[in-house]
Amino acid sequence: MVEAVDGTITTKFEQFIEKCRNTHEAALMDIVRRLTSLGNMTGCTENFFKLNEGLNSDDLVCALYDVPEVNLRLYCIRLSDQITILGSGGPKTTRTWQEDKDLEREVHSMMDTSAIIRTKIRNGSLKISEDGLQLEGDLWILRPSAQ
Amino acid sequence: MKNKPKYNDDNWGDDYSSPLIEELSNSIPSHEQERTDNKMKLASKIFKAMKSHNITQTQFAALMNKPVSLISRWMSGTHNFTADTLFDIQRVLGISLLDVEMTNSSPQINFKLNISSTITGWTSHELSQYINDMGGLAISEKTIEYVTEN
Repeated sequence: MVEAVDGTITTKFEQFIEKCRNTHEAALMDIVRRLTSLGNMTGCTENFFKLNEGLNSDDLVCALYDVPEVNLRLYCIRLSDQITILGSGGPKTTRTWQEDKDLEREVHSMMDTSAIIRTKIRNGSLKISEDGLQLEGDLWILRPSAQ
Repeated sequence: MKNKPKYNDDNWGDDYSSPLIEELSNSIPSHEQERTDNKMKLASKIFKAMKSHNITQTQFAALMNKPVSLISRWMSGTHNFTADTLFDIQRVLGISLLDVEMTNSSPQINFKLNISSTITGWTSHELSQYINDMGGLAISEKTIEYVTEN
């Protein structure tokens, strides 16, 4: 979850929806349907994602496959076959995300988030629940100063 | 979107729900979701079969005589398969993706029809003829109540 400029709280995925719902409605709804299937039926096994979308092979940043010819890209962090953190993304009109400032920002955001989460998992402040379905512990990525 | 959180609350976010996502989810017709579910399950089944045979996507691509990029697309849940492709995948992986056997798929209707009518003034012969005629309509069971007048 992230804090918007006006102080309201949203998620990266909600930002993605707001960004794309008017321009790529069909592709966005296809993504929502597939995410529903992933959550309810198949789990998030690796075949549903383009792996290694980040700069490092171990950063777990990936992208949900986009519909051919539309290329609406949603970046994620795939922690296991049961847990995937949804990020944001956008239409991919360049050959690589490095050529698109918006996508570059989103991928780097996911890489940064992934690094923090993996560090927390290593040091024990975050862990995957016994049933494998939840990430438990200190979920604050950046804790703002108390107000 | 929600109001600003209490930053000292470690449990904040545990009960987060998104009206925006719910709105989108609720707008999906059930038949469209079912279609996507089936495509995703199909992709998952192919992926798991490949894993159980301990073959890589590259090896599977070679067995299918297709480019690796197409195999990735098949398993992404976004591909619209042709029947020919599904039959080929079935053969190579030894799994069942389409059930075309007539024994299990041909429609069979079982019904029981009870006809109850009151017939007066018929002779036994006429009644027998009537029952035979009803049998000619392939009715599986018939109940005839009749009153004969002597």
